[in-house]
Amino acid sequence: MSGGRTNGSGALLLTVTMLAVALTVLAGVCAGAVKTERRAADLSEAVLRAGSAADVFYASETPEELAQRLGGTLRDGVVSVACDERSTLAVTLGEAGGLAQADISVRCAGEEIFTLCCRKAAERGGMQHAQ
Amino acid sequence: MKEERQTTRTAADSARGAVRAGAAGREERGGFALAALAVLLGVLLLTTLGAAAYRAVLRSQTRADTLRATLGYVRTQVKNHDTAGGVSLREGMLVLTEKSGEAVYEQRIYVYEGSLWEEYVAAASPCAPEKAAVLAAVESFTAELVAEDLLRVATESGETYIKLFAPVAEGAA
Repeated sequence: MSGGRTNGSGALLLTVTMLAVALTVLAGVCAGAVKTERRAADLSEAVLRAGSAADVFYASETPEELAQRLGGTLRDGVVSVACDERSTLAVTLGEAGGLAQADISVRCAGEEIFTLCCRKAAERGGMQHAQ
Repeated sequence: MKEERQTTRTAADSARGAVRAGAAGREERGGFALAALAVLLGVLLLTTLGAAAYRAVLRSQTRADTLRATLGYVRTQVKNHDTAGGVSLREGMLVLTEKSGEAVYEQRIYVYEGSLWEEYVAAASPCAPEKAAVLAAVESFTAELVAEDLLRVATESGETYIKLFAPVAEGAA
């Protein structure tokens, strides 16, 4: 009787342990898939946002104009935009080799996921007071 | 008498032992039942969390797909047609014009009945949604010039700005 009960308990314990391990592995795989998918979606949005910001940079003549069009704030030559609750966009304005330069960075959940550097010449609406 | 007392004590001890063993067995079974219940609750919790995560992923994927299919696609198309007279706005439509010899064709992008449609027709043809193709399901689509050379395209999923190097078709905006 006692031996039978011990065997039964052992089998139940083994089943519970195996189930727990299987569930943990499944949860890990699902979490990985969710993270990958979310990153792909974030990257897709980030590329679009950065491209759009680059176009606004090309079409703007002053940092103030750029900040206004992007709906952000200008501080120390950096235009910061809160895109949504997870993503932010920062355009750092500068000059390189006589050309106006913008370093565009998109951050998502605190992590930088996409960067873009663009330059433009004065004849294409070169940015005044870039720095 | 002594023997009788001894026998009685042994019987009582065995009875007590049997009661203790029964109680221990019940405790053990109770413990496993609790463990099984905990596993069941854990599975339920994981399933609920998994379903919620899946819903969130699906929502984000749908949004990304809509963005790619609308704003990303429109951006590419506008850039492709960024020539003199190539991009114009007409009656809420974004019209991209291309010339092939003497023939002029238009690619019209507009929102109609909850979808974004793309119609490729000869320039003189009237608007015919039955000949158009659906790009994506959207509730709103706006294309407007925010500056002489900056086009803003927006849907409920987001917005994008497109710098135009060629002027927008005269009188079209």
